[in-house]
Amino acid sequence: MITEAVLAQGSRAFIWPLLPTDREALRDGFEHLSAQSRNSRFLTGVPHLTDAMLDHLVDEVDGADHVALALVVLDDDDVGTPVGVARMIRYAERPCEADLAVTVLDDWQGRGVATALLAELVRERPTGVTRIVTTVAAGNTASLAMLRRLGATTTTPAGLNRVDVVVDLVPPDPATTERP
Amino acid sequence: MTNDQLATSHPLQPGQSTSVAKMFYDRVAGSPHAEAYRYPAPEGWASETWAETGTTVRTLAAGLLALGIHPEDRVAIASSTRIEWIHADLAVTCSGAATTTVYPTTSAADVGLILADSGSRIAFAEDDAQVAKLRGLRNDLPDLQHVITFDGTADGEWVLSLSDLRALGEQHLADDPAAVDDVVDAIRPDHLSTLIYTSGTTGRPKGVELPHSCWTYIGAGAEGLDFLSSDDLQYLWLPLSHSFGKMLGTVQLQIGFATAVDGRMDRIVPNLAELRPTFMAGPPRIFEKVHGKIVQTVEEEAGIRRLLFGWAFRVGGQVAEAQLQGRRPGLLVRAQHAIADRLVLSRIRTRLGGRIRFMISGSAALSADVAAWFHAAGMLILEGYGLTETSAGACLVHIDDPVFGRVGPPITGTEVRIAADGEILLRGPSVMRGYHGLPEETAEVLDAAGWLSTGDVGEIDARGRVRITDRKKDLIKTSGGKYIAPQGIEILFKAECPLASQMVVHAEGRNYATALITLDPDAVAQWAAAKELTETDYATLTSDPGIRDYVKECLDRVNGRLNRWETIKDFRILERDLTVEAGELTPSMKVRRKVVETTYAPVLDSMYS
Repeated sequence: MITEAVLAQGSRAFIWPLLPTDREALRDGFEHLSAQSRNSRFLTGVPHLTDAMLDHLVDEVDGADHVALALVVLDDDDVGTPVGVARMIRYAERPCEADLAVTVLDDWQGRGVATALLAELVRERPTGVTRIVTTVAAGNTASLAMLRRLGATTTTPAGLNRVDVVVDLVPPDPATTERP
Repeated sequence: MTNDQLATSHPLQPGQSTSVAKMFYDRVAGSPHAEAYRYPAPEGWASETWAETGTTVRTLAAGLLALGIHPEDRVAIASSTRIEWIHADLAVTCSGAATTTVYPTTSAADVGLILADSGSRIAFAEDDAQVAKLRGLRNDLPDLQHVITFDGTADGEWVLSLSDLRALGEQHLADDPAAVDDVVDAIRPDHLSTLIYTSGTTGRPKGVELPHSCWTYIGAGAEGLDFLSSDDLQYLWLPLSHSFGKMLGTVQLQIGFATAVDGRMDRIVPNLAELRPTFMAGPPRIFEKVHGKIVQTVEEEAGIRRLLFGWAFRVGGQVAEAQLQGRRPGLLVRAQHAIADRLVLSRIRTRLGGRIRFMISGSAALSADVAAWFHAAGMLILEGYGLTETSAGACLVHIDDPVFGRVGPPITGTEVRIAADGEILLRGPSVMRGYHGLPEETAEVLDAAGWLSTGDVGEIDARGRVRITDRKKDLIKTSGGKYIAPQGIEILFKAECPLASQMVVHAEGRNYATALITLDPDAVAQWAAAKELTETDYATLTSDPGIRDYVKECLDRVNGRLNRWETIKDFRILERDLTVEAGELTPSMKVRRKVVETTYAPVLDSMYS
């Protein structure tokens, strides 16, 4: 499913599922992230995405338990550049709960990329998921605000500069999920 | 100086001097014959009066003027704590310049960054090792015109000795006797006094700009607390490169007590016995060390002495507890305490010289247990809180309202507020002007109304005392008060070691850093195949000595690129990688540090015993 999104400042963009062919694009995109953004994503220092990580982040995307979407911005010549990835992954032992991770290239942060990706991700989430359970840096106010917009949120301190976050997702609105 | 710094517009507090140089001049004039400093000499301790310090400092300051130093120029000091550091710093101050500090252990790369960013024109260097570091950077530091060495070898051109500087100063004063006095008179409260560098989570160190008014406010604030007098004797061993050390020196100028200066850490215990100071300040590490050493000695003793020790501390603890609650202990406890004190507790105080009135802990969180142990022995530790960005001062536990696990109320003139997300915000005359040349980074932490975001999370109790509970930044704080940015080390290691899967750096509240390391299963299998090992089981291979040596070599290379306090002193290779099933990773591969540290707590503890 491909949807069109309009970002702040009017950029045209498409959101589509992350495909196995996007492996190198993901690897390359990570190389351009700031140290801060890398740390926010994995909560540890990561110099490069390794093959083992890419196996998990690309090859294990199955659209059922692991949904991953990419947002691609089109320039005036309709050449696309991927600028953000969002994914939801179901916990194996708790089928109603899923982890959430969003990464946006530094230059594109604060321009509505994450908001657009999340709106679509929540619509296309793994069937039966009603709750997000994840961990974020306590100082990452942008991510915390983004999570709070998804539903009733509780946070619990989880060690130095970490909070565990639980979001009860707003039940799907039939009007927006039923598409032609 | 940049033009976009925020203006400091705090009126001077009662008793607050216009500049640190003026404080020093007033101190010399006010008590010229009183002892100012004591320091180690070839035979025992040497001592100097304020008048003598005044003469030395004025001459050295004149020497700096002769070398062309102008108001607010930066002069760096790269040295351990010693009397020459204090003379150099006061001379920089009285020449109208600002001091930039470098630890003797700072890596050459960071020394280069700091001296270049500060635009330091002169650097004091302790010895040949520090001189060599600067010499190696000379081509990258066009602003650095001279190095002045305390003990190192001078060449009479680029590297001068302290006596060369003194000779220049004497000549300058002979030509213009009022040269230094005129400069001191012209220093305004908003002139830059220190440019101290602090580490961030990522990237390079940031220079904290503190004008004279910040430091003179701290002096006046400490006097207002009325817990120190000119009769006190301070024992100062802290690194003066740190704002905490600088603060203690400034408070001394205001109040006029004498300070014994000796930065040699291995001399702390013998020095306490010899000097018999009335107070001492330090990071929690030093109190843990003294506590650990005494407890260990007792544990090695025969049964009866050990029992006596335990009993004495229980009695001492009851008395201390009653004091904290503001009540008088019962008659029986008082009688027991007299015995316990004579047999055990007083002897512990004697080991610290026997005259300690109180101690001050700052720069990291002090364990309430350690504080209570000292209190039971009759020595109160007052915990304080501050950042380099607040001239090391903001809150301090009051001597007449002691409490453990809290850092006390703000000092008069400083305001504290808790933001909606729990972050501690501070406002007041000790707050920095900004980060040197970094308007965006400054705006991130300092708002237009003057509130500084500390990055620490905490709460304020009903009596206005602050408790620190968490940090909003990915910075680990050791018990020595040093910050370590773990992700930087993790990135270096993973890039250096092809076998690595995960690394979790551990140091919070510890006196050094260690790491838990996991290996990538594919890489381990490949390694085993290349070495033609018959063993193929991953868990078994993680304890293979060859693999451990290889990981150690990688880690040694990483350590070689870090500042000494950041280096990973020990590590353990876990026998399985971090997993989602064990809750150590989220399904999207975020590392849950707390789960890892809890699961492997015994492994971590084994690296600190």
